[in-house]
Order: sequence, then structure tokens, then C-alpha cells
Amino acid sequence: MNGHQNVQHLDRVLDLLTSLGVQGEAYLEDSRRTKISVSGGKVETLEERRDFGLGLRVFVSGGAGFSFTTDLGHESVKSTITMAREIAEHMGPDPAWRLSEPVPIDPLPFPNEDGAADSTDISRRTEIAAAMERQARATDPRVEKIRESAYRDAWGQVWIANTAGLSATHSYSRSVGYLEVTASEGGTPQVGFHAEFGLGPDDLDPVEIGRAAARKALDKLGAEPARTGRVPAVLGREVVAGLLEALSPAFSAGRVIKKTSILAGRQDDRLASKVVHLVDDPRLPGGFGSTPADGEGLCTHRVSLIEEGRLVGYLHDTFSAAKMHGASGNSVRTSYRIRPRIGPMNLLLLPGDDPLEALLERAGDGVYVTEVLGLHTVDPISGDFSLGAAGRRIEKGRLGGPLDRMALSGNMLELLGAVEVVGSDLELFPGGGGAPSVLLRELSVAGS
Amino acid sequence: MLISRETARSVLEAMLSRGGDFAEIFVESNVGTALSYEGQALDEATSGCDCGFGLRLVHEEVTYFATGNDLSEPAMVELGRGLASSLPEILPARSIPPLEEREIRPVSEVFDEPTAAPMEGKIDLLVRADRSAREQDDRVTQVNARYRDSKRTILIANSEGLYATDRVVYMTLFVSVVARKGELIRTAHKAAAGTCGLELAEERPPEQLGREAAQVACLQLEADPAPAGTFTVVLSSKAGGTMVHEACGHGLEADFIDKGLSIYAGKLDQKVASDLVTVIDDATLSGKRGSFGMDDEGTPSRRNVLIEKGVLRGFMQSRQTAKRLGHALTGNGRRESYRHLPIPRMCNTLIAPGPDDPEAILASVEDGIYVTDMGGGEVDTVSGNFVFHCTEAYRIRDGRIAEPLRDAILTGNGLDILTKIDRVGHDLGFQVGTCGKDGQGVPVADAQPTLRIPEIVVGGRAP
Repeated sequence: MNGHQNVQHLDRVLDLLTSLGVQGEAYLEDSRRTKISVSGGKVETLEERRDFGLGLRVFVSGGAGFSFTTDLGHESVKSTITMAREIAEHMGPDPAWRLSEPVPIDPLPFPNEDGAADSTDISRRTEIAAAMERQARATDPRVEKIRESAYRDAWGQVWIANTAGLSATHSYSRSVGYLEVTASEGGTPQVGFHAEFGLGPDDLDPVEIGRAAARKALDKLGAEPARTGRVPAVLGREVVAGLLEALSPAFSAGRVIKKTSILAGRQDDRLASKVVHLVDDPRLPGGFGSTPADGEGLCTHRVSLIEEGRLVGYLHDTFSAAKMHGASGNSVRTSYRIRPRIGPMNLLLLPGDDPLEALLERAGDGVYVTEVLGLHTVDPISGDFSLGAAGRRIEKGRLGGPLDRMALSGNMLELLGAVEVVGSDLELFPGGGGAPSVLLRELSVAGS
Repeated sequence: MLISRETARSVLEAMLSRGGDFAEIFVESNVGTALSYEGQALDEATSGCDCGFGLRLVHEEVTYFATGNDLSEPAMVELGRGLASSLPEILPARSIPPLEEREIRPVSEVFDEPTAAPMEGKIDLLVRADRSAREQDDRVTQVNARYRDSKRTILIANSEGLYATDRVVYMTLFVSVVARKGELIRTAHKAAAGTCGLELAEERPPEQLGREAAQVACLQLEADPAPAGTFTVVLSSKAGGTMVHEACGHGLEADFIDKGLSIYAGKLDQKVASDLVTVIDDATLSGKRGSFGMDDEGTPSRRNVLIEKGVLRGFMQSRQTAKRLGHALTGNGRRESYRHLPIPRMCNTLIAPGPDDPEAILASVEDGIYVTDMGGGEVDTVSGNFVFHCTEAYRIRDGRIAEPLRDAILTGNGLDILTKIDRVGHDLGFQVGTCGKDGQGVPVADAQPTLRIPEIVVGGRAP
């Protein structure tokens, strides 16, 4: 990575925009990713990927057009501007399409990258993947196969600047170790997947990851379908985080403006039970999505979304903030190729005081849901969901036998309203965000 | 040609300069436009060219892969040399046979190339979809119409002497409608897509998509929650092939077989489905979304019979799995882009039509559920357990379509459900989608005739 050269690239793009008399914003990404997967103690694949490109937004005729290129030569940048301009001219004009005003970026009070991660030494990383695999096998003889035991990391820097004088940059690194194993004892084999993350390879505990994946597969052995009915349920923290992430588009002020969110027009309404507090915290120490600046180069800040069950805020970018008088800072970029969108950085359900055991005990007889299938079908407009699920029985307040082929259905708002207790077992997940387990008064479960 | 034969040769030589069993260059240029029309205005638009390459070096079953965006010969050669230096030992350079250009026959004909067409025409398609959806019913509160075109050109050169290029043009129209009655909100989507040009909008006019999506969304406002429990289900051919895609398609991808992670592993030539069930994956169907001339490893596309009258006949292979399993190549090695390694994937997957009259199948059910549109699904290939979402469904009472149902999800086990299918219609209906696996999305289509499943778990609302 050549930071100095990249700053020069960016300056040239801004000069070109200015000389053409066009208001615009440039986003430059220079990142590297590696992935190592191991099978039988030996490297199976070693991947190295470099992404370098420019995402460009121009603001003309009251619209905003987006285009991108991987070629930063003069001619290519010029034609990218022309393309973005043509698009902007066809957009529905709105005075809220405007450049972000420059603001100072408060640095994160903790490191957001591992200085040692940008190294060519692959042996340490290979060892992590190999150790996870070894540990999974050593956990129990019923662990049969390892689908994939892999280490991956990403590190990079982004630069955001616009013709109104804004200029921001930040760098990051993340390492993830994950594996998927199967276990069987005669009957139907079961799968267990586990992933953990950190800033760099040294933050990962391969023994813990290997053991956790094995445990998840073993715990499902001999699973039976649940009986159809409405029962008290404990949703495991991974399931809660997945459901909240699937609902998260509904918190986008952009969707609220277009009325394509179930939360449109519900500001200050009581949506959930009083124990529910939901925030987006881009400055969460150890959060996967932690970042000092958002996709428009603005300083990030913590946003309260649900407080004591009441909807108190939405997520904003510069456009929606101008329309609804909100505070921007939640513009998310996943790549230079994709225009910025509103989204959370670390969506967090704040933990309560009770451990998981207390939730199970209060449930009495019901189901403990540890995995769901089909999260991508959760509809952020209606809030409706219907999912496949696996988990355990809860019998007299304790964990019973494993369950699978369950089908769950309902509505996210009903589900939030049915939360009786929020657990204390908060965990942060790769991808951003975190949640503890929750106890639901009642959940509709279909099975045999 | 994205890179010349001479450049390809230099890069392959650099990759094999320290030995190695196999080297491959994958170059891709993907030019396209994506438009979104919502709130009766164009609200999102992106246009650009994503160009880059991926180099794959295989040595003693280990795969080394690196990607970059700079298509100049020196940059590509440098990356190739870097890849060679990751080999654990230095061996003599491997020689490469002369690169011969292989002719790849395009499978889909494009009549009205969208890439260079003026923006106004594309936006007009969205305006038409929006208008017809709003006119259909005054309970329609929001419409999102999306347009996407792309022209994907790939070039593959490898150390076995292959040098070939293929070009596929994709077009998609998608309409999503929100309907509201009081507090009740329902949504519905309709899509048309294929490996074709703007002529898609004549075959499947945007007005029709808008109208149909509006009708389903409004119908859902009146629908009761689906009942929970075990029911006889009739899947209409109109609903497309999500079931075959999830219930057996993924399990027949050879990487799962190779690793013993599929319920279909070790079952070749065994009975895995009802006699009435023949499953085919076919990337040579003209105009379908999962079609191409060659796969992303340079293997020409073909029609593969996976299950023949209930008997398992073959799997979907990539170069790697075919070699490891000792099977023939099937042309299923696909990748999302030059950033990814190819893995076995479905293309256009279908259950072949059978003998029965679809109307008679419906009439044969006294009490059950009739599914006319399926949404997304997911499968765990190890256990074979799958789910898929029914986005339009009705109760069947006395062989007739009765009240509409909402939020129905079907869940079962692939082997079990395919064995239970007892009626297969003589019709066939396609749906389109983007299939996700290992973080890679690829365009697919799937199709089924009208089918009867005597019992399957319906996850609806428990009483």
C-alpha cells in the first residue's frame, strides 16, 4: 500500500472535478485480504486478494450519480465522472442531495488495526487454521468431518474527500477464524459452525473456536422435530443478533422517508417491552464494525434506537439528515464499487442482569433456539419472518434433548414485544454487532 | 480479447517458473448499470466497469490464488511470480504447450444490447412498472422497481493450452410492492431476468410485473396466517424451482460430495427419489439466467442429468472435484467474479415434467396447501434439512383453491421429500434468482412442474 501516492490520486480526482465545475465526492479504497484453509493439517487453499478502486459521487441538477473504476488514469477518471454525471441528471431532484460538510474526526480511543497484521508471514496464520481443526477432532470421537477450517483477514485504508473541503482517512484490520464440522453417531449427521474475530491473528484462540464448533455439532445429535404449538422460548444470542441484523434496514431513515420500513411514522412509539434497549455503537471497543468515520467521511457517534422499548431514533446519512433534521454518520460502504448506504456499524442489544440459566429456568417448559435457517427472508417492510430452526428442549427450567426441523414464524415487532428478560451473556459477532440471549413469553413453533 | 495470447503465455510462464501442476488466468470485465426507482423517482443509480483478474496455481492439491486489477502485462507477470514464490520448494519450471484459441459457442442470442442503450429507455421501463402497480389497487403505498444490465466478458488461459473467451449479457427487471390496510403491511415481489437484452421487457412487460406484484401484495392483506402442522402440499409450476434447488440441488454439488458433507454422498446409482422425479441441470438453455457458453474454468456448458427416474446419476463438478473424485467435467465450475475461486454451482436446475394434468393434481387434494410463489430458501446439505418460504399460497379445500394464506414456510428433508413426491405435472415453470454459497453469488434459474407432496411440515402460526 502506498499511502502518499493514493493521496495524490485523490487530489487529482478532486482537481478534475473542480476544473469541470462539478461538485463531487471521491472514495478511494486500498485493501488486502488473505484466506488460508486447511484440511488434514495441510494447507488446502491460500488466497490473496487486493482491491484498489475509486467510487465517485457527483451532485448535479439536484441529483446524485454514482460510478466507480479500478483504473485511476486521467481518461478513465474523466469518463467515470461523465458517467456519474449522466446518472445524476436523471435522478429525482431533491435539495437534500448535497455534499457532506467537513467535520473533525475524533480518533477512536482504542486501536482499530493490528500493526503486525500486514506481514507476509503465513505460517502463523496457517497454524491457527490447523489448530482449530485439530482441536475440533480432539474434542470428541463423534466429530467426523471438517468442511472448512479457515483463517481470513482483511486490512486496508480508505480515503474520503469532497469538493466542499472534506477530507478523512482511516485504516483498519480484522482477522477471523472459523470452521464448520460434522458429527454423527449412526443417525443423521449434524453440522456445527463457529467463528471468532479480532484485530489480528494473535487475538484469536484457535482451541476455543475448534471446541465451540465441535460442541455445536455434538449438541444437535439425535435431534427430533418439535411439537407444534405456542411455547415460551429462549433465543440464543447468535439468533438474536441475526434477527436484529435482518431487521436493521428498518432503522434506516432513508427507508422511513420512502415509507418502506415497518418503523416509519413510529417515532416515540412503544415497540418493545421495557427491557429492550437497542443502540448502534460505532465506537464500541472490540466491535467488528468499529470505525472513526463513516462512508461519507463524517465522524461516527453512538445512536440510541430503542430505549426502554420506545423507538427513539433512526440511522442517518447526509441526505436523510437534511430531510429529517437528523444527525448523519451512518453511511456504510462495503466497497468502492457500491454506493454508500445507511446502516449500523455495531448494532447492539444492551445486556440485562440475568445469566442464560436464569432465562431457561423462567421459561419452565419450552424451546431454546440456537440456530435459524433462512434469515435473508426476514422482511424489513412488514417485519414478517418465517424461519427454519434448531435448538434444544427446555424441560422444567433445564436444557433437554436436541430439536431440529422446527419452523418459526411471526413478526419482528410482536417478537420485540414478547421479550420478557434480556440476558447478561452479551457476545460480539463478526460482521458487526452483538446481542445477549432473550426470553420470549411465547413463540409459534411448527414441527410434527 | 481482454489480454493477448502472448501476455497470457508470459503470465503462465511466470506462475510456473518454480514448478507447479497447473496454472490458470481468469480475466473479467463486467460493465453494467443498476437503477432503482422508488417514491416515483429514480433514487439510486450505479454504473461502472469492474475489471480484474485472478491467478490460480495448483501444486500437489494445494491451491494458491491471487487477484488484482491492473491488467498490464508487467503487473500480471509480477503477481504470477509472487504466486510462484509461495510454493514450498523450488522445482524446475514447467513448460506450457502452445495456447490455442478455443471457439466457445454463445448459448443465448441478444437482440437488443442494453449496455450502450440510452438511460431514458431504461428508466421508462421502471416508470411503467411503477404506474401499473399503483393503478392496480389504491392500497398500494410504495413501489420499488429495479433495473439491472451487465455485460460480462471472461477470458481463461491455462497451462493445458486453453485460451478461450465467453461473453454473457444479463438483464433483470424487479418490482417490489408494499400494500397497506390500517396497521397491516404486506409486500410482494416479481422478477424477470435472463441472459438476454432489452427484448426481455417485451416478453415480460414491466406493466405485467407491476400488476402481478400489486395483486399478490393486496391479496396478502386479506390472507390468514398459514396453519402450522403437517399437510399435503401442491407446488404449482408457477412457483418455480426453489424446492428442487434447496431439497437436492445443493446436495448434488460435488464439493459437498468430495468432503462427505452431503446426504447424497456414496449414493451414486442408488434410488434417492420417487420414480417420477428426474432432475437436470442445464446451462445450455437459450436465454435462461443460469446459461453460459463456458463455465468459469473454460469447460463448455452442457446438460447434466443428475437424477434419472429417481436414481442418482451424477454430480455437478468443478475441475478440482472432478479430479479428486475421478469423474468427468460437467461445466459447473463457477465464480462470482475474478475475486473468487471457482466452486461447483448450479446453473438452470429443474425437475423434468411428468405425466399428470396440473388441474387434476390440484383436484386430487381434499385438504391441503397450494403454493403459487416461492421466495428464498436455505439447506443444510449434511442433514439434508431445508426450508423455503412461500410468498403466495392458498388453502385447498375439496380439490379447489380456497382462502389465501400468508407466512407459510415449508421444511423437510431432501431425501424424504423427493421420495414422497407422488404426482408430477406435464407443465414446467421457471423462476430466477441469485444463489449464495461460500460468500459468492451467481445468477441461476430453477424450474419445476406442478408437484404433489403428500406430507410436509408447514410452519405457520400455531393455534
